[in-house]
Amino acid sequence: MKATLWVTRYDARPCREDIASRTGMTMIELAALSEHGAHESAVVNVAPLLRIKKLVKRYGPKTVLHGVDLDIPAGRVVALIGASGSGKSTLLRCVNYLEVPEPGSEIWLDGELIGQDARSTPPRLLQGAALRRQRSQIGMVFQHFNLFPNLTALENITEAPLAHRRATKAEARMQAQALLDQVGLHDKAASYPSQLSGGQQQRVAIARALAMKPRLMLFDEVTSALDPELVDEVLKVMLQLAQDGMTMVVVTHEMAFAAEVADRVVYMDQGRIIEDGPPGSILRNPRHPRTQAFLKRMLRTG
Amino acid sequence: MHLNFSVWLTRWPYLLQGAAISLEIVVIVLLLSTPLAMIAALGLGATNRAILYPMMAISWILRGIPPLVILFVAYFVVPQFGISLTPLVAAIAGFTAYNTLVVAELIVAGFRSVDPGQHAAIAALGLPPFRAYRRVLLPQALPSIIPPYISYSTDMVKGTALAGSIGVLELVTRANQVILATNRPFEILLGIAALYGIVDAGLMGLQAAAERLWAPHARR
Repeated sequence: MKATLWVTRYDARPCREDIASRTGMTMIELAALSEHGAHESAVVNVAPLLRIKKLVKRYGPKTVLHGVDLDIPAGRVVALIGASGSGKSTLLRCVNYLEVPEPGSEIWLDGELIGQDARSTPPRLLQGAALRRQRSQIGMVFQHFNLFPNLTALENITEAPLAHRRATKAEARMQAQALLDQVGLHDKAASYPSQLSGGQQQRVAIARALAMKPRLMLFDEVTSALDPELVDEVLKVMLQLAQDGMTMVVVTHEMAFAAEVADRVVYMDQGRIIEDGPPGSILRNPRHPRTQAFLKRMLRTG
Repeated sequence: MHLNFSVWLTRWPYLLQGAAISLEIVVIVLLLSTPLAMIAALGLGATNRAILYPMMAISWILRGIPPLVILFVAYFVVPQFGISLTPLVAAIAGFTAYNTLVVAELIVAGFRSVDPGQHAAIAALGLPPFRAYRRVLLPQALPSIIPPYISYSTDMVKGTALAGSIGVLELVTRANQVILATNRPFEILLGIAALYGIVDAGLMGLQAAAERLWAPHARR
């Protein structure tokens, strides 16, 4: 049985005509603003889907994130680049509180404070079911896949929806099969992770993260552990996801992918955002010397 | 040397009864200590130091002193506090105390051997702890817990001989009596070696079966 594709479009970007009618601006004015790096959503003052405010993270005496601010509107794909140790992966892991940021840091997803109880002052760290519910709205894909090796591909995908009682067994299986179709693995439902290639495992991991119908997807160097010939099949799935309107934060060393898919490239160095802008300007005309040096290194090695 | 196994013709009921007592100790101790070990493992894996440190101290003491001393404590010291135990009950209590902490440490080590990435995935998906343990962590920890668990259990089969020193008439103690009575040490010792071998073979068969059970989802 072939299940119908359950999802075609995620959180849609605010459509330009809609904004034009709400602001009284002409389409040409809007397009011009957009060219200059302003986002339509900023024009109508729509809150971003993900808002990171004053994000600080320390490991002992070492500060790895120095008060990072980052706003990401719905439907955008942001590529986070930077040398290893620049704090980009830590930033990603702070978004869903896999790493607990320092007090005073704020992560907002669609107007909801993540990881902390906004009603208490100072905000208390969220635990248990409340935190689990928030995390389930944020899909995460890891460098080393982290699939459950004792479960089949299909069971890996159905696990979270069943645990959260989002679906009956039959519904969850049908949705999982649809997701496997979507990532090009319709015939691998019964395979265990050890029977799949790295690229296939990573696609299952993406499907697993999508099963909770997240509003935001986090990708943490998802192609770094793959053999070069397996990278493209994973990037293709991510490209499709971006085209479907998913909001994505992608930590990556794939500059070509960043250039092609991202709406925005954010360059991080030593726990700070150094440059932030459209891929064309960051990747081709970086202004900051450290960005220039980093990209030169990437071009030489990659 | 001339072997004559005819001593077994008259002595076998007495010796087999000893084997039964040894087996009884093993089975009861395993049945008691395994669930207790699961609870103790929670303490040894706790992040709360008020639970962790006392558990570590108990584990250090019980695993650090010879099992024979634990049996002596159970049989000679505990009655001083008004709880009088028969030799068999004292032996079972002593072995259970020791084995509980040994197995608890095995369980903790087994769960620690699970890739930290699994915990990250569990957290990111928001899986509730009990379900995560049942569906993901336990199935991955068991293959590294079961073989040493069986191995310790076979050790305990042999270890039951210690119970003789607090007056339990288990297999080795009875063998010793029969040897003194008949002056046929080789025949008796070969016979009880075979009895131990049968019990150990049974346990090893269990281990093989357990390992086959988890073979389908071979670990990465």
